Amino acid sequence: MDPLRQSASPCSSRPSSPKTPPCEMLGYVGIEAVLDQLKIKAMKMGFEFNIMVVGQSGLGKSTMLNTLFKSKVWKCTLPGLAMPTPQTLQLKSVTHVIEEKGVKLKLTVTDTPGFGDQINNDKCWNPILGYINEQYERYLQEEILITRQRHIPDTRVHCCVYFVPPTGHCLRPLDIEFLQRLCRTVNVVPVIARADSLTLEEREAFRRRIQHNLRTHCIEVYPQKCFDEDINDRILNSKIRDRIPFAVVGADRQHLVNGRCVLGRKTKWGIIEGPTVGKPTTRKQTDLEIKSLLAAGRTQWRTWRTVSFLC
Amino acid sequence: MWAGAGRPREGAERSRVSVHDDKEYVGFATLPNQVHRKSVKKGFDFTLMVAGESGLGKSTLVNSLFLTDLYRDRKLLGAEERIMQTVDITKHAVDIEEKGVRLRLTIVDTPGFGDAVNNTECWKPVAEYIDQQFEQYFRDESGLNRKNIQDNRVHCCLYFISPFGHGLRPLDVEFMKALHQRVNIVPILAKADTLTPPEVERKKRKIREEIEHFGIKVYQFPDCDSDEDEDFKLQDQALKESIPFAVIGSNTVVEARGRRVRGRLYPWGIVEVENPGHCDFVKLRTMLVRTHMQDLKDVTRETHYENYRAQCIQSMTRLVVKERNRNKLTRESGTDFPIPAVPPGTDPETERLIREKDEEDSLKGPILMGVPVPAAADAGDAAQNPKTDEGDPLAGFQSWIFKSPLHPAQAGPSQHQLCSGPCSYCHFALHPCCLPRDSEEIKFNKSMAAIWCHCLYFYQPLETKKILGPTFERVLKEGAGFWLLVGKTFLSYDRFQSLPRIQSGLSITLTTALLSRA
Repeated sequence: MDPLRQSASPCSSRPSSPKTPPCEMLGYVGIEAVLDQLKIKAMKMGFEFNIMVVGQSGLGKSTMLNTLFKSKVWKCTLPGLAMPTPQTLQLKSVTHVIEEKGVKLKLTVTDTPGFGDQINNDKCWNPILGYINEQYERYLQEEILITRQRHIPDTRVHCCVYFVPPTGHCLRPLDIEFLQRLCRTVNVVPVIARADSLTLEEREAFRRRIQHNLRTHCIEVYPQKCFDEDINDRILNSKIRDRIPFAVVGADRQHLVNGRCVLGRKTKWGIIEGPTVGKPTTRKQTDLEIKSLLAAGRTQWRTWRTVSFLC
Repeated sequence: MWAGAGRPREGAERSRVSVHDDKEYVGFATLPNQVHRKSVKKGFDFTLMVAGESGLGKSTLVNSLFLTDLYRDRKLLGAEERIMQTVDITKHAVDIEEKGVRLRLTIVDTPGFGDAVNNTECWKPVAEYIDQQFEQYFRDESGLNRKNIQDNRVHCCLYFISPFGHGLRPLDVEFMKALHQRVNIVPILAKADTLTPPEVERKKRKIREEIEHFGIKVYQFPDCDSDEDEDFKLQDQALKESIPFAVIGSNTVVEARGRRVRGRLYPWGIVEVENPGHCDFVKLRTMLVRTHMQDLKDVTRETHYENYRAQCIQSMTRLVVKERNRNKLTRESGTDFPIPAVPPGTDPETERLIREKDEEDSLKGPILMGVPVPAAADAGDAAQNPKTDEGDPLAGFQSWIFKSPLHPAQAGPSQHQLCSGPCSYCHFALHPCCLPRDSEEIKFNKSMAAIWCHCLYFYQPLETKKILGPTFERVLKEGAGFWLLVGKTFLSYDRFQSLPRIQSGLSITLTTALLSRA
């Protein structure tokens, strides 16, 4: 290897991974320009993100999605116009392309109406598992072709958001069954739905109990401990893990509060603001999900692929 | 002591008027006061059932309603324990006293309802519990000592509907359909603080529509009389339109607007439980305790309990008829021959038949109408006793009496205190169990009527000629039916079949079975 040149540029303060010793650069090469090239290419290509929402009807799944992506991604069903709950679980997918600051995101949202709504909810998770595995299968088929497409359409579910009803007690048997089965196949993010029905103390207590339940049943939710790559990741992720499950409040109506226009829910005793800084709500989740899930999705994918090759 | 005495009047007028009033008034205007005094002394009891999925705030609401702390030491089940749980029925009883009036409140809770993955028929334990209470009351009422019957019947069921769904869930519909004939159901929209006012309105409307669509009969408030004042009528109307009640409960007291109130403290505001603008809690409490408690008890007693009782008795009748029909097929030949059902209205013919059989019977000797002590179908009466094998209708009747849960022998010795005395209901006969074995009263040639009334079975010796004496008539009118053994003929009368009238207004349809003699 050629001796590397000293660098006088500020880029020497960049953190480097502990594995490779920091190289001293003498002179400016312009490696960081590669980042720009990647950025331009990525912007042209756009990103893909597939999210699935699972939960009983009426927990505010569609509202939350709209709040999360700040656009009408999913048509919210009003109670008066709701269709009768389907007898079997059906999966519905909707694809949108949303754009922010020049970055295109192809967002696919999969909804699961009818989950957990029947009297007998035995094996209601089977259609969901089937769908997820089907997407993986499809991708695998494309990948093992001799002449592959340049860009394989990625329909794999990157994230599954599971809505836990805010009972305030603990996870129900249905929740546990579902989470146990799905946490191995897909990234699951449990979320406390309609968190405005819990006071702060109740919320904390509920959160602790859910975390305890998850540990007891060995349910590994996203971000999984085993996928932490380095110390920084671990620190960041443990902070996030402390806040799981996130308590969310979805809101799609605008109200005037202190001269600001906010998304919120107006009741007789106050206005509940949707995304606010103080509450661990949708904002954190957005960051968490979009940035890291795509990467984590790849790790999950690798696991699934290995497993499917073995059997 | 009447209302007029306290009124101030002028001088001489007073004495004149009082004397005059004395003559006019009978004085029964004080009856309500007497009732009031007696009830206060006795105290009231009320059984309330709360049902719904866990986590909807049932215990919190109960505590808020009655300002108690029934669930103070409650430990919530962990998720592992919940997986194994089936629906349980728990009772908490508490005595509440307010201004000298005592209320014995029993709360029946249903932990585990709707929690499992497979919730098929999870309402069955609840329905069975309610039926059990009815049956217990039925038994007590038919028993001997009716002074201190404990009324454990469920007077009202608060069913909690989740605010997160879109109206009623399939489980809600099934539960309410299974229970609306057994108990007064009051639907409640739980955790109403998660909903904004327009959402509450929409949900209430949707739930009301669905209740009507599925034909669920929730508790209906009685219409107020036309002579009530407008205010009351408006209140009543508002009450009817608030179903289901959107409630919030709280175990904590918070400081709001300078006062300490029960409420929930959120970062964005304080929800007050007792604020009518925030939720319908006040309406529910008024309805449940202050205005409609007695009506709930009345409806339970008059409608639901009576339905149960009628069903119970009808099913017992059918059992007997089935038993008898079964026995008909396996009967011995010989003297037995089926007598077809006599068409109703043929009075003289019936009389003649009865007379014929009576004569026949008198030739054969006394018939011991089965002393229903199972081990004792034996003894000296074996010769005279009809055969007690499967093919014998009397045996069928005997075994049926025995197996019936109403029979004192089945109920156990504690139910039956009287051993030699008249039946406390009809005052005329002895209980079958306490028929003395060798009593003279049993040995006679006359036909014996086994009268089955709702207070158990009693036997009344009759002379056939005086078959429809006044007492017997009364008993027949008030009882559910009777068996009349005339010679070898068993006549049965079932009040629930619509029959034309004969003689003194009661008719007998002959559904006969024959006895075979040993």
